[in-house]
Amino acid sequence: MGGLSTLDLTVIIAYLAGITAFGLYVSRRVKDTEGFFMGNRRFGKSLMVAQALMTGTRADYAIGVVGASYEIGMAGIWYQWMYIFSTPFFWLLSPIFRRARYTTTADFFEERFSKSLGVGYSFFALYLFMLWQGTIIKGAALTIAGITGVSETWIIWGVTMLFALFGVAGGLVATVNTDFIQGIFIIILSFMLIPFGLNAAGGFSGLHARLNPQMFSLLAAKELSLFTVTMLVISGLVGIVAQPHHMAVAGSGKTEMNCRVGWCYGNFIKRLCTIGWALTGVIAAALFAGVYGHKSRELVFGAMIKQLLPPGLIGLMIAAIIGTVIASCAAYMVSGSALFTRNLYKKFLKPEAGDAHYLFVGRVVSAALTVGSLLFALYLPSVVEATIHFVTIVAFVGVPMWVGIVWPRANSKGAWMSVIGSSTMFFVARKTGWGQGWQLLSALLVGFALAIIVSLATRPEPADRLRRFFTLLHTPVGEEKNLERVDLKVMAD
Amino acid sequence: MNVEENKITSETRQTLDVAPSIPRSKLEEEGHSLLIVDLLRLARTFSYRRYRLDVIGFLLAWLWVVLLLALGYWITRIGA
Repeated sequence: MGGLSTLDLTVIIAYLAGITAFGLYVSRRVKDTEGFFMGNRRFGKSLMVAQALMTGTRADYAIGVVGASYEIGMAGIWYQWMYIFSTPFFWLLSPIFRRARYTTTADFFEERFSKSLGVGYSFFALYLFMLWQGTIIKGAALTIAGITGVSETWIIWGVTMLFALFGVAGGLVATVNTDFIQGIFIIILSFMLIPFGLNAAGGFSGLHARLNPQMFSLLAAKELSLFTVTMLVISGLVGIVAQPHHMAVAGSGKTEMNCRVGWCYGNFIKRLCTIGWALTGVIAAALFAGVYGHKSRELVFGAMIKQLLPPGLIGLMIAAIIGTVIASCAAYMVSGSALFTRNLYKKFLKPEAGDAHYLFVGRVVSAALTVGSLLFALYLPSVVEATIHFVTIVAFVGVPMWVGIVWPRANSKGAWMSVIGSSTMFFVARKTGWGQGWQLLSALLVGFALAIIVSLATRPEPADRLRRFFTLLHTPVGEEKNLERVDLKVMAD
Repeated sequence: MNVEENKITSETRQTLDVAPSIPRSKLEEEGHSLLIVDLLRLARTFSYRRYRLDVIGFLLAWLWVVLLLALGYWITRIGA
């Protein structure tokens, strides 16, 4: 088939058969919605690390960083390292997600602010999930089609069927359990090309001899200046709390410590892998100088796989790419269906149905979301542009979330005005032709200012709502008897 | 100040004093308190003992950040 040897095909088929069988085997335990959406909050440290690594590490990220580093050098690393300075905050944030005991991030907005904000967030999150899945599928299909010569459409459908089977059948349990195995594959994907590439380029000294010294700088004036990187880092930190799948990634551990270790150190492994992607891009710049332009630079990853790897390892690389697609997309699909089922369907369409009915709806919605994401994949200009787009828009929603956690006086009106004001400011700044860094800075400043000013000028949230919210945040996991004492029902139960 | 403004001011006070109505947590006092949740009250509430887990883990995580940055920089210098 295409450029694949029998050995490559055997590796791919063995991998896909093994991972599907394992996912379906562990999914037998899923009997209710809490199990489907949150894995019954039973995951240990190693599974939490694997979940954070795999949900946050996608083939399209690798493809984007390799492509950017091919063009601008090691500085391309910042398209993913923008979160490196946010990562220590994951240690501080994960117990907040766990203690809130919510199933979705929309639950947070509804419980802290208002029902309208919960609904608004649900629609925003469904858009994000479909955008992400579309980006992942597009990136992977682009690369695999480049290597094998198989039609991109066929690859899109094949990969989609696989992760849909996973997510629909097993929910978060299947996803997280297979993440552990796929975590090994993502590390393989990140570093496998480097020795072959260095060998072809004449080692590190060969790289330095062939390339401009600017290609080894971690900052590039051309595309990513220090100011732009700083603003991407700040936006990343503000927006990280509002990424819809993080309620499951950071809150499904058995203990708070499991959640801390999982989210924080799973992401540190990803940052390590990012070094491998950037280095791969720099090696590609030495080996494929002038072959790909700005718009086609993301094709260089597939070209390296095809030209550098021997038979068998090409199959392993394709299996690793498919593995990241399955893991990330299945996790997003489960979180998206949780949002729809709990925050829209159960609240507004059928509030009194049994858990089996909601589990069925969750599975149907999972499949529907997947179809939506296929449509998104067709219209995305590039992986890097999609990444910047989501980092930006998610920060607008992150502002009220941060303010809501640290400042009891923040209210729903302030939160709404913050989101509307910051997104308006961003689009005005963009239309006016401001630089990327200034667009982000102005939008964030307007967002924080409006959240504070409007909250102060209007009535605070009812005291009972605030008492409920902050009591949860001040009641560590393991002290649930304190909640019973004040008659506080945990939302996820 | 009209009646509506009076009401808002009173509710604001209640809002900002929401913390005292929360049940006392033994774990929070022994190191499980959360820096971000208490951010605006840290001047009054901070002690290493209360925030031990957050402080140790946060500093350790920054150490990893420094190590990763150093590794990234070191890789760019190999063979130069």
